[in-house]
Amino acid sequence: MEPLIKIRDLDVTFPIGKSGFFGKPTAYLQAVSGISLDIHKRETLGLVGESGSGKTTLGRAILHLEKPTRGKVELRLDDEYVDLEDLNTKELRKIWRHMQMVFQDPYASLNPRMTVREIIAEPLVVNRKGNKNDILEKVEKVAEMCGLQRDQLGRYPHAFSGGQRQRIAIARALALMPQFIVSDEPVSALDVSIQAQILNLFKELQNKLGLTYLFIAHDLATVAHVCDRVAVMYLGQIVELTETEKIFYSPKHPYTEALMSAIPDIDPDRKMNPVLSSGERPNPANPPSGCRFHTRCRYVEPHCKEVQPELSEIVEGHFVACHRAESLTLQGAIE
Amino acid sequence: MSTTTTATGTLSVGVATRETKVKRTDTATHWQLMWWKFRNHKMALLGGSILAIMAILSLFAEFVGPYTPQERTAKYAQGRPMGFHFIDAENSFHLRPFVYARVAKRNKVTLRMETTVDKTEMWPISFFVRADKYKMWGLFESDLHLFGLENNRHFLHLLGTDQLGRDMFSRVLYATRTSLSIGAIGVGLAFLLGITLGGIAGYFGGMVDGVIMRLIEFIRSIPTLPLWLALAAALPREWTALQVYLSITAILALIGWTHLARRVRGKLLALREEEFVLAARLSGCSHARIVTRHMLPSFMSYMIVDLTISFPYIIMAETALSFLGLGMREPIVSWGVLLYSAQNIRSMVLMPWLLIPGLVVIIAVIAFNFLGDGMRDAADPYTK
Ligand SMILES: Nc1ncnc2c1ncn2[C@@H]1O[C@H](COP(=O)(O)OP(=O)(O)OP(=O)(O)O)[C@@H](O)[C@H]1O
Ligand code: SF4
Ligand SMILES: [Mg+2]
Repeated sequence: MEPLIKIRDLDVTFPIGKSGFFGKPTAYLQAVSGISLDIHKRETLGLVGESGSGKTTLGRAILHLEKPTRGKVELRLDDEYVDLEDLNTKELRKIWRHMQMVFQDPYASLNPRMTVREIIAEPLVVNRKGNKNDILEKVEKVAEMCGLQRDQLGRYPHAFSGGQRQRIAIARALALMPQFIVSDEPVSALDVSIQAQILNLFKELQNKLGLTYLFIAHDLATVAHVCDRVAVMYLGQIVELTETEKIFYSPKHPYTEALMSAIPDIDPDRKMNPVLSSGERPNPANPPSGCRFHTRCRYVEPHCKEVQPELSEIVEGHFVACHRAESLTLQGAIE
Repeated sequence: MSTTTTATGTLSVGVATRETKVKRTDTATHWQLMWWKFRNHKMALLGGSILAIMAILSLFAEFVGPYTPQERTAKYAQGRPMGFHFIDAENSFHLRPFVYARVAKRNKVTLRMETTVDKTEMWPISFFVRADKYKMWGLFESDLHLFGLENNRHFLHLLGTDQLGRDMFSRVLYATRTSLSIGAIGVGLAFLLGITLGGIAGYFGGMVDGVIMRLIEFIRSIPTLPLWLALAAALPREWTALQVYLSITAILALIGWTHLARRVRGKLLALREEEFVLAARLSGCSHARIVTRHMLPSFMSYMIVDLTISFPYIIMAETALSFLGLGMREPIVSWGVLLYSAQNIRSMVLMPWLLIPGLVVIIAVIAFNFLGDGMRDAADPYTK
């Protein structure tokens, strides 16, 4: 089946450390480095990695909220692929009717000066989706779908808890009935007790509306419940990509294994591997040579420091970027 | 953080709809929340009221002041402040306040004219009296004063007079108008420059940003006081009072804008990356809508705080310049001009009331600081 979204050789580079009279950058940080990825219709693709690995940047680059420095993103619309690179600002705004984002921080993603009704209505208003009454009706419908009550719509965001704010943000993202949604750690800012409710809402909405998700998380535990496939990211690159079960049963990349060890009480009897400490995380502006993970890898070989492993399909549907992928037997979270 | 329990916010209306209770703050706009938070600051309210009173009184200086600033009461030159009374020497109460009469006599030892209080005669103060003619705001003529004496051979100097016999109370009023208006116009100009250049820098970024930021750094690297002095000293002596007034204001604004421009730029750059602004872009909003609907509103409250805080700097700068004789000059009176004439030790010792304008400056600056404190706090009404 043709994927809904094709991502090819995507790079996002940020200039950092300005100096000189006109502030010419002195260094560059490659937050996303040569990523290729297919996202299929109606699937939930998880994107996991430590803080700073470039997940948010990748998510934004897919929507072209952040312009990629290289590579391309194509969206399948009416059996044809649209290359987002070719679009000007106006056309991009039209494409965004089909691709939306739910942000990480529900306290920052809602304009404090607008009522909930205005917030959810804004995409409809600026895209001229009917007259005032049509729009209000649509707002109420989508708000109800996201578990908001009609009498709450006149209030301002500050009247709501984090979980409810995230419902508002989801309703806004859904207002234009998009096909694809990037959700950037949508529950990481919420109380644990609320997280499950929001995750269920995502699932429900997907079933009802046939949505496709890129679901960003920084730990594997969240992803386990909601994702069909998982991509593991390390320093701007994808190191492993396969179905969720395979990630948990038979991880093939040492970094995935290390991430797995960080999941608390998934199996209390299991012998825990040492958790990755963030202190030794390399600087993303100056990534290690060869395999970027070699500075922290337990299975490192001299070869790894020189040659960068390609992301390749070692078993059907299981992509890994590790020289030793086929010879190592790694410990999954579930045996 | 999102909870609605600010001290004033807990007044729930008591309407229970289903399981949710509507609190008053839930549907309150940002400005309402800011006001509720602001009014909890008693000192800020006090500061604001003092400044409002100063502004209103001085705006109508011609009407409120019994004299024009250049008018002289020769026989009461260097006169002490005249206290007004309700109860006379015989302990009887008068509904109409009065001042005791003054008689001028030559001191036999020092041979100087001295005025003494004559407690046997009272000069009653009248309200809405017809007295000296003036031209209100230079526009229309009138002779109505808020208060004064009916008999034009008597005189009333609540805060005394200066060396030439000019009424200090009226002069302070006119000076307040000059100084506050210089502050307001100066801050306004600085704000305009700052928001334009800072906005351009912050919105376009890149090369334009680089050039503007370098310019700002250059201006800021020049020590302010010498620069002011140099610019002010360069003003031609023969300029009219109005020209001097306008140029001094412009000079003060020219230096004040850099700070604002930086703040505007920094805030714009930060706002561009705010998640709600990104969400607005994804919603399909045009640049104009993003700026007006999403960026400017969250930015205005911070800018207003900045304006309030920069107000006293401009006022003090003007006062300092005029005090040094480089700013305003007679016949325009400003706080600095008044203090300039109180400069020598003799007048400080013999006529301490000439320092009253200094007291007014201090009160105004403190009031601005209180007000700024309250506003800074209110600008972010979502935290407690
Ligand atoms: N606008 C920017 N300018 C410069 N560097 C940036 C910018 N945005 C992100 N970065 C850098 O790019 C890297 C990836 O950032 P990104 O936010 O994508 O990571 P992330 O995986 O989403 O992390 P987190 O889990 O903390 O959200 C980080 O090192 C970050 O410092
Ligand atoms: S390539 Fe080498 S260093 Fe990199 S993950 Fe595989 S074993 Fe570890
Ligand atoms: Mg992120």
